[in-house]
Amino acid sequence: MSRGGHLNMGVAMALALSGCYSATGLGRARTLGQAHVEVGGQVELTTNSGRLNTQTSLPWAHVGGLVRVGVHDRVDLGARVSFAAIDGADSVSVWVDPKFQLVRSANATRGLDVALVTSVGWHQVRLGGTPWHLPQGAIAVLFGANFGPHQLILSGRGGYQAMIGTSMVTQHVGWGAVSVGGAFRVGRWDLVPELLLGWAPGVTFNAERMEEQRSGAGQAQIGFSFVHRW
Amino acid sequence: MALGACAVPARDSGGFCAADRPTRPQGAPSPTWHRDVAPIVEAFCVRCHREGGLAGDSFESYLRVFAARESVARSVRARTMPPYLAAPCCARYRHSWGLSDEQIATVLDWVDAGAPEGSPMDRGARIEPPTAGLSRRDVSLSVTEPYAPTPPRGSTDDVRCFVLDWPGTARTFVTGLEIESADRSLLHHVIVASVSGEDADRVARLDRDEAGAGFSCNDGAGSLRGVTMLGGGLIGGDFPEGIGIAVEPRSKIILNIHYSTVAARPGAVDRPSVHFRTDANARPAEPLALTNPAWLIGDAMRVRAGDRDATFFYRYRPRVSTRGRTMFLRSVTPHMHTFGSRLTVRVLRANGERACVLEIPRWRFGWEQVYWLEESIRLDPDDELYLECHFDNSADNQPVPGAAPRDFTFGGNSQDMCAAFLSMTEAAR
Repeated sequence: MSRGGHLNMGVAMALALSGCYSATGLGRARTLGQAHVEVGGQVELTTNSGRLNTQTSLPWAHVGGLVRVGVHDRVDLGARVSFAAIDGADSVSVWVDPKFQLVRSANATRGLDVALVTSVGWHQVRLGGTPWHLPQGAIAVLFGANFGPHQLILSGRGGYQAMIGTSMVTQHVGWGAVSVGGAFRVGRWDLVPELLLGWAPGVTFNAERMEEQRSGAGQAQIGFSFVHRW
Repeated sequence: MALGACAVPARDSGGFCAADRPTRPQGAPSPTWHRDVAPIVEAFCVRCHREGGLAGDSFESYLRVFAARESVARSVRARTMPPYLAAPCCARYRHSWGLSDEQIATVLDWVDAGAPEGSPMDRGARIEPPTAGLSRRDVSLSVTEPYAPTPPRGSTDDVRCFVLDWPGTARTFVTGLEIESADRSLLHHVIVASVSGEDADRVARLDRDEAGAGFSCNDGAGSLRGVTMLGGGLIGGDFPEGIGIAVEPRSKIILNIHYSTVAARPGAVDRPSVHFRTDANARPAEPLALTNPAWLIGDAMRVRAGDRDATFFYRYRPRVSTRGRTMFLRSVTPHMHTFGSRLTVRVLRANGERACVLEIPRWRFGWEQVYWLEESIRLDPDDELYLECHFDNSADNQPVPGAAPRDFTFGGNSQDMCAAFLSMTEAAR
């Protein structure tokens, strides 16, 4: 009976508006080096900006896995997969993330590294029986400052996603984001906490009253990945 | 997590209601006015079709109906009159004032036979008009100041929202309601809703900021945010036994009234009242909103100019709302605006069976209401809800006659919506 504030609507909006993909987990701004491999997992919390409306600022948790292989001293191939699910609503996303070293400090324990990551992915959001498919592409430039075995990572990113579904007109959304994080070496493990803030300026949201219509969607992600390196 | 969602969800084609003209039993005698048609007209039509009534034509005599017989047949066959939108072939509803298939067939056969009067001595049995009324009135609220409907320039319709203070000091359940108007000839349609907290303050401000009783809702019901719909339509009554809708203390009650001045007397004014049956305890009807959230984004629900039958549908397995429980659907409130032409709500069962919840073959903006199901409809955890809306954006169906069609999306009153608001309970009764 109530026309607002339903949990299902909130979750639906949170999923739909964020795209709900996992954007963290790209790791260090330094490629692994040929024949090196890292494998790990990831958890991530996502929330939308309250500007959309207060009912959609729900946190949303992903869990996932990632793998990265050094195919050249300056080129890695990586892949990520992430999931989110509650009863009746779920999402899955898959990314392929090649990483290219643009600037590589001679010494891995100090100096600056810069890497470019070109990602393509597919993300599916399902609420009940009707899934939305979001093919997407993104470019990230990672800046890494090395402090001994650890690295401070800053990034700037841009991306595009299409939202495709049954009985709807496909929506096209461009987005940008910045992030700050750190890679902390513990033995053969890298622990990588990250904070990412994103903004999709072109997306609009309809409402019963014109003055309640909104444009632009913000998103914050807090990610934590842990990878084992061989 | 189940990821078996690769198949494209299909439109659930095939209606529950036959498009064919309803027929009477073979061998039934040809209908006459006095024996067959007059009881139907008196029960369902003269409430509005009378001298001084809401409708323009009076149907209080054989000759009047005879003169309008062709128009009557068209409207009855199209089910646009009486203006009860739900098709009876889909489900049965409490307080329905729609004609049954047999009654429609009787009227059509009568017109086809030349609309014979028959003998006044051979008068058919009276049909009880579909007015249920409240079993008791626990709370009565009235607008204190008379209101003279003042439609915007070029219109005969005025939609007004009146704000009334709910007297309850504790959470109370509304278990029935009834609307009373000082001048029924003005009344076209009523929606009753409650609103609490900040939204109540906002509505009170809107009321204060505008002179006279209430405030203008001519931009649709858009001013009403965070409302809980309690009821609607012109005929009220008790909700199904044991079912209630909670109203919080310090709530505001909103009477959203669509006035029509077509048949109004000069200087006609209204001072509406609403009566409630209340109970301290009731089984709360849990809400469930059915719409595709994607349509709220950009032009995801774009209807092209000139499209006579733009169709959108959505399938939804509402486990988030039902929390995995088996629930029972009790009511449905469809929602579209002026471009809407048809709407369907169904349950698609996991075993392939289907249940019809609501089918509105000809949507009309002014007659939105709550439909309480006579028999609840079971909703198992793996069942899907299905919503389908049709829109007519042709030149013949513009809100402002003569205006050129233009594209529209999901949104406000100059656009349109496709949604249904359902209520459900854990128990079937």
